[in-house]
Amino acid sequence: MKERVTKLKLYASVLVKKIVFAWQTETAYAGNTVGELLSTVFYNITFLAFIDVILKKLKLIAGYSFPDMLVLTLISQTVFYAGLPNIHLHLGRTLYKKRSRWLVRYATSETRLRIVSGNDTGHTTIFRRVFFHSPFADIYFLSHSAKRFSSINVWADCGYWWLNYGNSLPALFQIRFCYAGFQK
Amino acid sequence: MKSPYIQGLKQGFAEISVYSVDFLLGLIQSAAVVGFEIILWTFVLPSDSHSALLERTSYFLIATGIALIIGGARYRFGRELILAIKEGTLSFHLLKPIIPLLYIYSEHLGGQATDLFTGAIFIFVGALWVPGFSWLTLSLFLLMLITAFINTSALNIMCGSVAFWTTEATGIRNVFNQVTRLLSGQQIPLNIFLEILPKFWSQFFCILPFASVAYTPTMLIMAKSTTDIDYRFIISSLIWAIILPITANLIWKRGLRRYEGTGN
Repeated sequence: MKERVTKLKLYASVLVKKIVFAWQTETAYAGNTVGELLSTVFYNITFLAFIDVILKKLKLIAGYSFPDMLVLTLISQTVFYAGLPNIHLHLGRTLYKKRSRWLVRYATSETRLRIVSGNDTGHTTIFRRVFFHSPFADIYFLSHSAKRFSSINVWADCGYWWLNYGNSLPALFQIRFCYAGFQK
Repeated sequence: MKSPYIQGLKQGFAEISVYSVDFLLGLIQSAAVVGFEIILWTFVLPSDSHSALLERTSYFLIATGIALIIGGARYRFGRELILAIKEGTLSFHLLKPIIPLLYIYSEHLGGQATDLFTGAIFIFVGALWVPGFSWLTLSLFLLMLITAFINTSALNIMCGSVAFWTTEATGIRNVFNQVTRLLSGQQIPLNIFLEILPKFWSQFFCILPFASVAYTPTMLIMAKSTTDIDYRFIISSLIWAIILPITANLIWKRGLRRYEGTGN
């Protein structure tokens, strides 16, 4: 028991040191910290202006109204800053190694989430490059970010397509989804 | 003896021409992105007439093409400057008997051959669907293209110069990028965006330099007659083409005084 407590204390102290170190690294350049904050503020302003213009012409986007979009923006930003896609990716990769069929789907769906959301550094497919800069990426990511906590099966299915049909089909799936999602 | 700037241009081009597939992918990427923009706005602004659809397609093709040609798409020149300052490669240029900014720009321009080529195609295809333009609109378009280039280059230099004060300047570059994308009319046709804003903000955004990056030249080439021309944008572009280069030059020079380079 005493050994376990000592071990836990050690883990806790390593964790605290890691957090402190990460904080120091991230805030080493005060100018960039301010820049990143401004970037987030301007990203949200420009994105919401973009959504506002669209909603002046359409009733809903993918079934969501402007207040819904505000909530989804908050969730997507929280997800982005909390690094949840990364955590899920690590979990997915670990599970992938176990070679369970469902888990393979799960892992690939997370990879795909990173590609669609633009929060990806390891993939250089043309589709990632296209979607990162397309307005569909944001809308698609937003419309799914709320659901992904409760409905992982949706992602599992997406991952299945990704796994079986390579890169092209999910891209076409996204277009079809966005097309169906717009309600006039 | 060849000019160092021409050599820089060739070197930049040589670097990207090594990967010929990337050249093609860059073209496909830009075409797909502008294609998605057109599809999106076709849903948002449905119209029964074929001419309205063509007009919108022309708008996005020309606006994106102009932004690609003048380097106003993603502040890539600004990024080159940030990297040169951050990694210290600026020291190499400062030691040589050249104008550092011009040399970095020429090297950067050579590497942007894909964007230049894609932009030229977009403008050409977009202009094919424009009903017709007068000599006045064409001359104003060429003039605005020059002012767009001056303003964009100055904005890029200002964005890059931030790295003199803070080594990591990607956050500020993102701000420039996001604001320019929205207010230059690349993301939303600017006339539609200004329509929904209160009068004060709509007039304020008219006088900012960002519209000159893509919207002003596009508006001119698409004007059916001289009555369609909004002269506020032209006047503000011309004024900014004087103010911005002077400001950018001052900031660059002030920043250079802070620069510390070490060699080995």
